[in-house]
Amino acid sequence: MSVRTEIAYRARIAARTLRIGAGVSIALLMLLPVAIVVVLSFSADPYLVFPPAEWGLRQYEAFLGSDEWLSAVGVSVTVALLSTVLSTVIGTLAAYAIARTDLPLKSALTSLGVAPLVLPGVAYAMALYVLYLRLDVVGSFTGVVLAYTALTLPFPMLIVTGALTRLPADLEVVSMSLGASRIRAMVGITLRLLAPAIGASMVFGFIYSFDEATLINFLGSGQIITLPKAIFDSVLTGIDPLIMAIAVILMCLTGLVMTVGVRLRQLDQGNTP
Amino acid sequence: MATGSARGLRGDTWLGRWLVLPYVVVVLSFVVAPLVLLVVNAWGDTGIDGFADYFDQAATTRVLIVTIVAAAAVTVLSMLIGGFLGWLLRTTTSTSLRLLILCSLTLPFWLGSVLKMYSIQVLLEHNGLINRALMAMGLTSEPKEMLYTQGAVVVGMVYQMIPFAAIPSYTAFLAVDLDLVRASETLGASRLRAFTSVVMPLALPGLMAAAAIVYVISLGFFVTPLVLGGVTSPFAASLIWSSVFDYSDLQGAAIASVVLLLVGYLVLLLAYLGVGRRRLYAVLDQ
Repeated sequence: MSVRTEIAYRARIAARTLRIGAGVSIALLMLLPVAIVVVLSFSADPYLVFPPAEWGLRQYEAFLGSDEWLSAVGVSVTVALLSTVLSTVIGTLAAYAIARTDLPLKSALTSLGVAPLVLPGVAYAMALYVLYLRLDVVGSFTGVVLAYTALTLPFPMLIVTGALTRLPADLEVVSMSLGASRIRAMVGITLRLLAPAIGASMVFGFIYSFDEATLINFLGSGQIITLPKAIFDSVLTGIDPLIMAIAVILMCLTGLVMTVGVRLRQLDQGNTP
Repeated sequence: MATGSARGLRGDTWLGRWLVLPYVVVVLSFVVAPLVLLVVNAWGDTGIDGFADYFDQAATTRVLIVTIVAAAAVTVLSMLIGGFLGWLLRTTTSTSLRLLILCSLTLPFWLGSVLKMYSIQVLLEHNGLINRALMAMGLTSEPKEMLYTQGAVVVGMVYQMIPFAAIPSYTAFLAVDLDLVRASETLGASRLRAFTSVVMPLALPGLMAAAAIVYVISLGFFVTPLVLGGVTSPFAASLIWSSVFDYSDLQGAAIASVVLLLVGYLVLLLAYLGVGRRRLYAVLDQ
């Protein structure tokens, strides 16, 4: 008996070791490309070889001195900011109407708004391209911003709607019965309690549109060069080593912003009374 | 009295409803209209014959089959790997392992969609790290051509989709009480048995929802096939891209897009019927 338990115990330990070993190897393999980029970013070679023959901050200096790349960053930030603000405002209003009123066709409306996140990307890009061709707005800045607005609408539709369903609707009624006006109740109570959810959906929307590289290839027509578009072109036509520095800087910034987003998300979910 | 006034206040929603208006305008013009127009374009003057021709051509059918099969392979692989990571994340008591897994799921994402693929390219190149490692170990005498193959595209897509599989799997496993595993092990089940007959049935709906979403996203990959497969790779993305920008064949590209959308829609519909809307939304909402 004790021998059998001993064997079973050993087998269990072996299985555990195997499991953890496999998990660690997979995780390390997944981090390998990240490590490659970080290492390459500190290369001082004129073109990319791994491992670098010479080390230095050359790529970082090149990036910070390049008007072309900095302007791509500028375009990306502007497009992402404008579209995220638009989609958050539009989406939050809609989420409110859907969660709090007797609107017809609620679930169809929500599904359509969430669709851009799950439609096969290249097919959706093609669909928008056909529309933009007909309207003759391919390559227009407004066109790109509006497309990204639709693309990021799913975030408020999922996150803010979730938060709204967790907030008791009676809170507004109570505050109005205590003398607050309708607007005061909406802004002072609901909107304030929704703030973390709204913030989180803005963060995720911003990151999503900042990183978007499919729609822009169809709708930008080579005239609107966002950062992912510039990187994409560079990767296809012969890579500019300074991209590695951009990647590392972006990785740190995205990580920072993302942490804020996740924190807001936790705040939001902790709001549940 | 109190409930009466509450109902009165909540009934006053005729104004609140209009808040949805801007949303409806955006959804109609940037989701519904483009999709309708896409179908109109695909239909063109040729109608259903255009689709029939499309399926008659060996080249285009091959692209579709490769895309559909590759997306299925990506789904299976990333659900296996991601599901395993999700399960480890759920069961491990070690903080450092948890941290390592979380890093491996988030850091690649922060690299951005294009550079993530470029770094895979660095690994797979003719003179890349993997080839050099293989040669150093004496496993191969000359470099293997891995880049610009269908395998490379699948690797890239799996790399991209593992987090999308792992996080929802973790959430699905969260719903499973680990005491059940311990209980079945006390009753003599092996860990594997406990996993397949206790954990899996409980987590399955969540996992199915995750797989459906992973599949549909994989269908539409654009950057990955172009960077890792090359412009002529047999994937829908490359086909649509070159139809539009090299051959100005808008209708062909539209037909390919419509077929992709239909396949994606079908998968989502099946998932919707199988596990419900709420579970699908839950996958997206992470």
